[in-house]
Amino acid sequence: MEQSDLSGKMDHQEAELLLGAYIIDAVEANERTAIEAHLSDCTKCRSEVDTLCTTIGMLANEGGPAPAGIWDRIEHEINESEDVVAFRPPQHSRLRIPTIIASTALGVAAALTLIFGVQIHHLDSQVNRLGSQVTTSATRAIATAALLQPGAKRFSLDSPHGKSVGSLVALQSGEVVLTSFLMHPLKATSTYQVWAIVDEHPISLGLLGNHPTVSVFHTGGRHAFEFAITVEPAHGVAQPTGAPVATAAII
Amino acid sequence: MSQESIQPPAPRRRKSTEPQLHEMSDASLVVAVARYNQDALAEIFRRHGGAVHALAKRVTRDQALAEEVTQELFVRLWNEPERYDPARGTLRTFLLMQTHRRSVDVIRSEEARRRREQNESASIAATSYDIDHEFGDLADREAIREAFKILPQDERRAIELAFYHGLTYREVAQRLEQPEGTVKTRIRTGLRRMNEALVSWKVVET
Repeated sequence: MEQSDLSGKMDHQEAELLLGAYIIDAVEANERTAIEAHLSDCTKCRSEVDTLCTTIGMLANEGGPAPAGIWDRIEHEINESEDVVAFRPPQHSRLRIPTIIASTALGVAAALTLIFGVQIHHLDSQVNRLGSQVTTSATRAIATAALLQPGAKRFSLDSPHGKSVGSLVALQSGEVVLTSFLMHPLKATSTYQVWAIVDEHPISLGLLGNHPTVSVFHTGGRHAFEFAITVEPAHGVAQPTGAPVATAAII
Repeated sequence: MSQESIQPPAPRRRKSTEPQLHEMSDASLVVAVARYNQDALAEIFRRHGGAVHALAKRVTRDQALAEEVTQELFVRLWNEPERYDPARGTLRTFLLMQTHRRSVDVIRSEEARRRREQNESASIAATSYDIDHEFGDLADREAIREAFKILPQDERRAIELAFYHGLTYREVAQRLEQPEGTVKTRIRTGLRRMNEALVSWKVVET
């Protein structure tokens, strides 16, 4: 019987013992959940899992051809999915992203500038860098490109009621990409403003406008582990005037 | 069992400025999938569909279930390409680990379990080590075969029953009539031992 604390997390010793069984899917569903909760906090166990992945991949690599007919069914299913079709951008707007992957030296902001013509510019003395918004047809590609950067981590933006209202991707370069934002548009006299919480003080990262899509920020080398979004007058403010409408914590 | 080779889906409508799909890296193909490039998904299927299906078949021991798992995996990659993180391993490893997990989940459902047990009830009990079973890539096959060989019999047996037959460590313990803790340790120790061997042979990187 696994040992869990009151929050349902498995203790390190038990989780470590189960890592082998976990990585080859030989644990029960409740154990899998408990181990994954532990892995989110334990770099040592996470490292062991990552180390063993390639070996497991080789163990799993049986090879051989797929039987005829499966591809036709896959193609049929993805073309029949109304949800996918509804959000599919037009063919001609598909943009070339592989350059981003090929050049790890490029930060996402720089790569987006290259590929999409997105300009990164200073807004005010408090603001570091803010990427201007891009067309919605490119947002999915940008979000994916950001996620595919080595070391990228995605975090949920949550409302005060705990509802997920968007997501951020934090990159090793210090850039932060707002990859989705589901809150309602504001009047033209207002804007969403993004803040990094550094040493318990809010530092403005920039203005999102009244109808945000994908945007890129830079933390300017500061170690920010929390981000907040507030609603402010259209010109932005030096300090928040109200409570956050969304927050994200980077663990 | 149908073992017809699938013909790679024919390339369609390509701009002359785009790189040929067969020349693109897996990571670039995933990015193209994120841009709803269906031909890129077809190319990924051409590269890895056989391995995905073979593993699903090996674990589920059911042709129909294996095809369902294969279809589900590639549809999921189409819908959620961002789940693949190239920093954490190759696309094939990612797909195979997803395939294994899904296959295990499928066979643990009661209905699937009944079907599988009808098909294979005797064979598990009588199974000898599957080391000689066909593995895919030749170099990988040889390396993993050698890595398996260095394991003590108890570790090898525990890993084989858990990985290829989809048993939990508890089920493995019951089948081998060994304590659960012993089986947990043997699985982990055996995998680490195999990994260390593959690293020392420079088959995998640290």
